[in-house]
Amino acid sequence: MGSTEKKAIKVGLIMYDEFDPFTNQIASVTEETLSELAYKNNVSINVEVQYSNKSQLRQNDQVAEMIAKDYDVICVNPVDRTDAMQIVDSAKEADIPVIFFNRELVNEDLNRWDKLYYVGADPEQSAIIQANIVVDAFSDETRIDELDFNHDGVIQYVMLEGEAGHQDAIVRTRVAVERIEAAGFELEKLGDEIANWNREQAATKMTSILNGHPWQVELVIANDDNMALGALDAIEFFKVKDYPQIVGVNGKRELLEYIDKNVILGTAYNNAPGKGRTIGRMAYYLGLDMDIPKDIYLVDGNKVYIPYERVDKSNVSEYFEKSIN
Amino acid sequence: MNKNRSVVIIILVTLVFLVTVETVWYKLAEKKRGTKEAVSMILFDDGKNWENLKAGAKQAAENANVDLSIVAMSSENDADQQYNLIVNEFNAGADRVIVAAVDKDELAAKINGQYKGRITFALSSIGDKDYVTVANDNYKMGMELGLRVVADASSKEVAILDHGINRDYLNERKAGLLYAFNDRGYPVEDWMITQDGQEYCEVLKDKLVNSNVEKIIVINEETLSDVIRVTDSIERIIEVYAIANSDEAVYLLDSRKIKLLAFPDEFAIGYEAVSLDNSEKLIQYKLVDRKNMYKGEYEKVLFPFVK
Amino acid sequence: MKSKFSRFFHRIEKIYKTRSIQFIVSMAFTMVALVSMGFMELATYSSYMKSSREAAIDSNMQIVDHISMQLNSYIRNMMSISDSMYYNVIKDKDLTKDNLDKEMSLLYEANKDNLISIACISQDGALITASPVATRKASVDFKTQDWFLSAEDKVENMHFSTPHVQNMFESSNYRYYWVVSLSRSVELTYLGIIRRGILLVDMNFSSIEQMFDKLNENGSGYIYLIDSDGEIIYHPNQKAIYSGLATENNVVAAGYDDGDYTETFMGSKRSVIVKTVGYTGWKIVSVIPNENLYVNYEELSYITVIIFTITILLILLGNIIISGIVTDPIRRLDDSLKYLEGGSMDEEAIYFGGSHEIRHLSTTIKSMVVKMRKLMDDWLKEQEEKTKSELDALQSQINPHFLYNTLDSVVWMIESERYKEAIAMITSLASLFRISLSKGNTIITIKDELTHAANYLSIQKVRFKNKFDARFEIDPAIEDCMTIKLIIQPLIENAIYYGVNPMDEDGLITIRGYEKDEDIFIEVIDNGMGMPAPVVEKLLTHKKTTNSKGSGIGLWNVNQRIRLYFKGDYGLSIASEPDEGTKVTIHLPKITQKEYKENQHEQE
Repeated sequence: MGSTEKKAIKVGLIMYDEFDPFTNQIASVTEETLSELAYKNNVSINVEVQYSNKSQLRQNDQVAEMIAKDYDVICVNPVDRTDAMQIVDSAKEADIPVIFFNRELVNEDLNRWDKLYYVGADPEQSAIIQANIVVDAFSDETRIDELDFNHDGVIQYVMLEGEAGHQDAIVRTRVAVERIEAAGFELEKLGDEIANWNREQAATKMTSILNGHPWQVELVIANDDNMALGALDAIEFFKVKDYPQIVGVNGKRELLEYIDKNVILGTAYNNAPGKGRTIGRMAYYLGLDMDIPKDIYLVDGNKVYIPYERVDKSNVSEYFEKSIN
Repeated sequence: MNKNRSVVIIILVTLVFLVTVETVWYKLAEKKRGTKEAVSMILFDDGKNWENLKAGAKQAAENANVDLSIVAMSSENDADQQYNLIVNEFNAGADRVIVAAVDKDELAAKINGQYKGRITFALSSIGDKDYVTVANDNYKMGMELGLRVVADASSKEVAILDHGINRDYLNERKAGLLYAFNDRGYPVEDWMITQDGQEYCEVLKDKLVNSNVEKIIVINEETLSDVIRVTDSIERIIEVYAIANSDEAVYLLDSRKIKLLAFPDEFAIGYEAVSLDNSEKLIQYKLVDRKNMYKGEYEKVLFPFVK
Repeated sequence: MKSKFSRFFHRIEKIYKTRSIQFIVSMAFTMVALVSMGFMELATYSSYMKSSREAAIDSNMQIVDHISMQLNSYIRNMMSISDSMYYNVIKDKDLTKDNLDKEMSLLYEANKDNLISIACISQDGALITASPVATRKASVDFKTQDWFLSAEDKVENMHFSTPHVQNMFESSNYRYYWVVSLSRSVELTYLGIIRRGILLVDMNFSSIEQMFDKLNENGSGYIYLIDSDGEIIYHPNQKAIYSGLATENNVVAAGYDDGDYTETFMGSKRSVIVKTVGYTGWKIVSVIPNENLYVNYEELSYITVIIFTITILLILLGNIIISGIVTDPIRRLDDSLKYLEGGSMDEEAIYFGGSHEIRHLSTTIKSMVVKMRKLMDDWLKEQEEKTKSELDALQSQINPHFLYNTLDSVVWMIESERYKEAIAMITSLASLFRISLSKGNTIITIKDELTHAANYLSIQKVRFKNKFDARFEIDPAIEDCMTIKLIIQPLIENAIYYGVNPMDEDGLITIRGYEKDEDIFIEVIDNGMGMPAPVVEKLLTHKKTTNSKGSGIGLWNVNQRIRLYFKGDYGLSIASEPDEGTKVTIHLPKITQKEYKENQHEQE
């Protein structure tokens, strides 16, 4: 303690896109955490936030620039999680630690160097939570009649997927269905559309599906809350008589309100503040060449999984404050 | 012959000397060309949306070959911390510091004439000839908005919502608003709601329900979403006016939740603050409603970047 | 102050006017060196600049071509999406029973990186279909939007708008999109009835931006995009320009045809390359500020300055070297000549050195100096001799013996009461001395000289007891001419003492004077003993033949004086025949008194 204590560090924070409120929330909590740490410990922390506009090439350039400017640690939310080689190589060469978050690199890439880290959440877990919520609802003997419109013992559902090829979308889609089926339920797919995490697109797609199946849809599984809300918009607009059950992921504020009003079944809360805090702390310690504090639990020595949390009517009120706007 | 020899030696020595001098000069100039001016920007952190201002600053930094670093303040926003940060930045080698002052008078007192010509005040003026200010005419903006409200008030009751954050630029705007109402002799209520989040909503809702106010003027942009949530939940129609610079405000204007928006061009503030020409700048603002927001000049200011 | 100035000026003037060799050579060399160096540098510099500029423009042209191709293919792509939608989908459908959803959605998904939306709108401004989002924004009137108006205006074309924010669809987040609208008028079929509508493809402006951003990354210049009216579509500093914080010369650039130009904007010169993109009429404008045009402009300036410095110093050095070899020796030679002017005759003091020619000059001057010195020495000697002779003559003018003897004679005469003879003798003596002493005048008239001779003769006749007789045969014309004095009397003296005195019979001395060939000859002839040839010779060469009894001026003296004074061939000549007689001839130039006086005046 005290030999060469750095008094100023530069932290880079690169997000794949600036329109994702979720990653934005992570970013702002990260920044907050860093400024508090800075103030408390009298260290000057310079945070540079950049957006890659969904271009991996651009992101590579941004990382290269930060390396050239001698940043102490870089936090990256990759555009393409399979194409991180350039970032890994250049960071390793410049001996600058990198914290990836929210889109997980493959282990082969993450293990190439011991100063690469990942902070995220396990998408499987979110799907499992969704499945559990659905299973619990449809297992409720008192309600099964109102839920199963056509009383055929089969759940007619619609899947609204995020982007084509997106890791979270793929995993959530697959695991949710698997887990529901594993719990003994039969599922019939009435529609499976890509809505790009976008509310309006989901609404459009849902409307289209409703045009074909105006009253048959019993369950809507959406890869995220935006699309769940979009589906709800379509359903309301279409003036469907009996609303299907809807589950999403993330824990968006508006959706929580609908959970509270029993319009939406539930969601898997994606702990953005938790991620932000973790990333902030890790960045702080890594930037100062110090060890990561023991209370941050590392899987395989380099990964931190912040767990999803199940939110349904029973506990929704706890989450209002933590929710994303 | 000897005389000649000594002159030759003098000439050769001069030659070597001059070449050395020129080389050194060239190298220094080259180095100087390579180095950029280092500018630090200190922004307070109380929920204000700095996005546009930062974007403007970064754009100017690119154009003017400036090394811009944006310094994070913690939530302890006070003049002390700001002053310390300013000093730190200069000590760390900054050539200029731009600061959005939390309390400009206290900060000015602390600075006390140091770093003349090297500090730029953004957002609200310090009125000191030694330091440059880049800001809107906050007072005028408030006044113009106030006059417009009065003009189509048609006897409806008006309230100004103040979140109680004591910032100069906000105070100036409010002062302008109040002046407009006073000038026209139109009564206006001044509601100070200092709570946050859910509490804020409850207090506001309470006030609205228990009054006849049909028009409200929001001066704190961070409260906009809460305000709209409240107005949405009330039965009677409440028209919202606002002075704000954020995507949210523009969105609300577009979706008719806000009737009239006074939009200070903070992109320009950031841009002009970083641009090297050290002079007082008065930045434009626009008074926009749903009808004209997509027209050429408004569109360009309200939607600053291609995303 | 003023005097200081004028003094300074005068000095400069003097230096200028002096135009010494050093100055001229130095100037000439410097001028030539500067001019040729300057020429060379200028030529090199400008050809370097030119080729540098051309290279930069070439490389930029390539970049512009490349981006033009990219942009072209992007636009073509968009147009083909519109075409596909129209020709492969809309035209085939009857909109009363079919819908366009699936196909539009497919087209959108396949191109969603570059598109924001595809939409089909009816002529009344109603939204028929759209992808991905079909919810129309509340109370937005499509009919007033630019893309609608321009499509309706010219139905056969596709229309590209300038960038604008999309104002069509519902959105739940604060996201907005800048788009370039590609709109066209289409025929919609309803149960066989054709109605008009608009097919709108909204291109994601950020794709265009990314295309150009990559190019504009390094700072040496930038590329922007304008439409045919000069409206900016893309500019790296777009937002600042839109806010009025910066300006660009876009309106002027719209008027350029394809090619490269130099323009001046905001006081600085820049090179501009313009290329038009097909169909849309958009122009790609590449701007390179002049400083960036020349590779390593600063380095070039630096090198130029170094070369310039070295050149100047080399010129100085050259000047010195030339000075040492050429002009310095000349100057030193010149300086050493000043000694000569001062009167010094030392040829060793003359500088010897420098180039071959200068050395030659030096030796020549040295030999001239030697010759001159010899001449001067000769002249001096001559003068010496002249003076000496004159001195001699003067000295001997008053021979004491002659005087004593003559006075003795006078005393004897007086004692013999031969008063008349005594008076005559003293008068003659006085007259003799008058002429002898004649105020130091070396030149007298021949008349006076003859008078002197006559006086002498009369004295001697008395003394020699009329042993001889004298006869004057003088041409009166010559009497007025000039001669040096004391040339006849010594001859007569010689004629008396060596000629007639030893004789017993009557001696006769004839003095004859005449003019011949413009010269004057005076002969003194005696019929005396004569002299043998060797004696004659000796007479004129032997310096002192003093006859103690005579006046002492020897023939040699007379000869010498005549020769010294008159130069040339003038002088004495002796012809003698033993026992016959002797004739001594005086050869003089003819100088009339008038001429002589004129000469004197001239000399004064």
